[in-house]
Amino acid sequence: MRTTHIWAGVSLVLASIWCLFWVIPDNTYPPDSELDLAPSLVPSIAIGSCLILAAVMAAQAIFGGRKVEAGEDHLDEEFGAEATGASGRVLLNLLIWFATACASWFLIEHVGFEPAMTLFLVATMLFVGARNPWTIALVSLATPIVLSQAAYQFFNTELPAFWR
Amino acid sequence: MDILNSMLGGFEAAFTLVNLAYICVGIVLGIIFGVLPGLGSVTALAMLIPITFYFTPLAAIAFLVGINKGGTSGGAIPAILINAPGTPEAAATALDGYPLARQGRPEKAMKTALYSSVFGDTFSDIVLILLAAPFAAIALTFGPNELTTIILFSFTMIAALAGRSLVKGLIAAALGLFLSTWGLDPVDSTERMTFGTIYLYDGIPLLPFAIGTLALSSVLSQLYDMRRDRGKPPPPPLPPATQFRAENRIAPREFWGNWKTLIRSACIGTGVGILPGLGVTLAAFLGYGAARRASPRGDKFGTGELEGIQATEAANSAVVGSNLIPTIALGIPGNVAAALLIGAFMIHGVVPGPLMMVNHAELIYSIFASMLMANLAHLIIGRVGIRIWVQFVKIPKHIVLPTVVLLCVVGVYIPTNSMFDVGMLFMFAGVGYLMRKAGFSIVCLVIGFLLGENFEIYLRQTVLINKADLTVLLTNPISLAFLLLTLFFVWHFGIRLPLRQKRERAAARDAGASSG
Repeated sequence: MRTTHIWAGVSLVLASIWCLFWVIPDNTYPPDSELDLAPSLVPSIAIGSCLILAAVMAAQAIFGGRKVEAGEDHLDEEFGAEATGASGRVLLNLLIWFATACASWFLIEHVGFEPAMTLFLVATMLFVGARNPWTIALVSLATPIVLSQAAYQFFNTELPAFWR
Repeated sequence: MDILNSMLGGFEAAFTLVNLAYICVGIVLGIIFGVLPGLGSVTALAMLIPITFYFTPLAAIAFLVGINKGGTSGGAIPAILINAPGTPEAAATALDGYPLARQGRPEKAMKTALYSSVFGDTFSDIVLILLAAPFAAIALTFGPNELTTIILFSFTMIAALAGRSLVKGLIAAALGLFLSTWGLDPVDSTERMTFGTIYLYDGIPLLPFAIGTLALSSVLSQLYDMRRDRGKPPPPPLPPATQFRAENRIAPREFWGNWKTLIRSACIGTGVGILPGLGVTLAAFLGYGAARRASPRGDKFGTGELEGIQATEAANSAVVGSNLIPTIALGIPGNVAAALLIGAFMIHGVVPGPLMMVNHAELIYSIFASMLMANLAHLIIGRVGIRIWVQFVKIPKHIVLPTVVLLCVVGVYIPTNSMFDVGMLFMFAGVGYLMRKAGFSIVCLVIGFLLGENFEIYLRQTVLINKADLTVLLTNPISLAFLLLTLFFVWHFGIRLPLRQKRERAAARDAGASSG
């Protein structure tokens, strides 16, 4: 987790500087009246706090930290064993997710919800180790159709599809 | 007397067939989500809020309250049957529930969990009903000065108590605050961080944000864990029930014989629920620990002791009602479930905070009445369906989790018919996944996002009213008290506690080295 803290701290410091000096000034306007506060004040306070805290976190990890011996590190209270640290594998998983998400988004928008989600389900079930072809076929074909029909019948919403 | 009259009015409004149906459907869905592997009441709430767009405010909140109640107790079922808690708070239930199930009495364990859960729920609902109005009346005397410092204190408290690191919690809350400022400025209505797209004029939409960070990121994390664990042995089969039905019955004397434990745990859960930032899981373990210390059979805990199940279930369910006390009194959520309920209130045009009791008193008391009705419905539905819920435990994760992704997509798309929102959902799922792995609190992020707008409005009002003289925060006794509390939390959780832990670790290491 120490390496994660260093990388996260440095990344957040850089991102905060970018937000403070470019994103916020370029995307906010001056106040309408002299009495009011600048609309950029609260975003700047938030990002300024983030910058300071991220620097503290990185500094603590670099100067105050040490390698934690096996079994000594306590589990994170909110996520338990899930909080493993942001390793290369996690970043690769994230990359896979964003690639899958972009492909799914594009297919839903330009082809349709049912075919896009059928493909998504087949790919995901295979990815996590499902191997029974009947289960995969049934779940991946039936679920998008059932959900699409439910959205239409109960909420009068047509999910995207080129034929609708 | 006022409360009694208001409650009678509430029952009059809430006791309709339609409302009862929504409550029952909410409870059934909550239990199913609680039972299904990898889901839980928070996922259920996040995913099902979108469909409440089509309900009346009362039906919507009653439905969501039903989900929350059902989800909290539903998590106990897989914990008891296969030692795989459906929700984190049910982990303590597994300590005694699973051994009891292995002894051939799974139904007895599940019934005990259900009855204790309903007891805890009812207890905290009564406390909520009694305390919400007086707390709100006090909060009504607060102005922007006090409310600014109270929200600031809430950020610090939630950050300190929600995770291991105050710094990481505060970073998450600051990011949430920053994201809440996107969209049109609340005072000047000028654009802020809209990046030239009209989709961001109303700010980052709540549903993709909440569903992405809370529900979809959790599913994503579990999908990757499943791939990593492909070669590992499957979970144990369900324990066989005893042939003798009598062994699975629980006599009233046997259940109420532990009334002290039930009340103690309900009090612990209620207390934990009132304080923002403390989770349901903490309540469950505190309740279990207190019961083990106080019980004459404390040494038998962990071997299938009914009292252990009662202690955890009464404590974790008692959080459900009481976490609405700060929500209603101050507009500050007690935990993530309450934060999502705040989102649902806002969607239905009800602004959480002390003014709720003034502007929407009838609705609030109808919700209270619905909560009490939901407890009775929970008892009946949970008991009648006990053998049905068991079947859901058997559904494999590799079917449930990918299907949940589709439910999230549909849930986000339905209210706005916008693919932009679906894109935001995917993006926030990735952000949530990274935060989970790096141990940054998503609770703090979501609560920072939800309280951000109010914080900005109160801060700007404070500056305007006091003509930029912020020393008024130091002369106003309530503001000063909350500022001092904030400083205390920063000092205690940010400096004192880490230093003490460091010293203890060093001492333990030295002791280990000298003995070695």
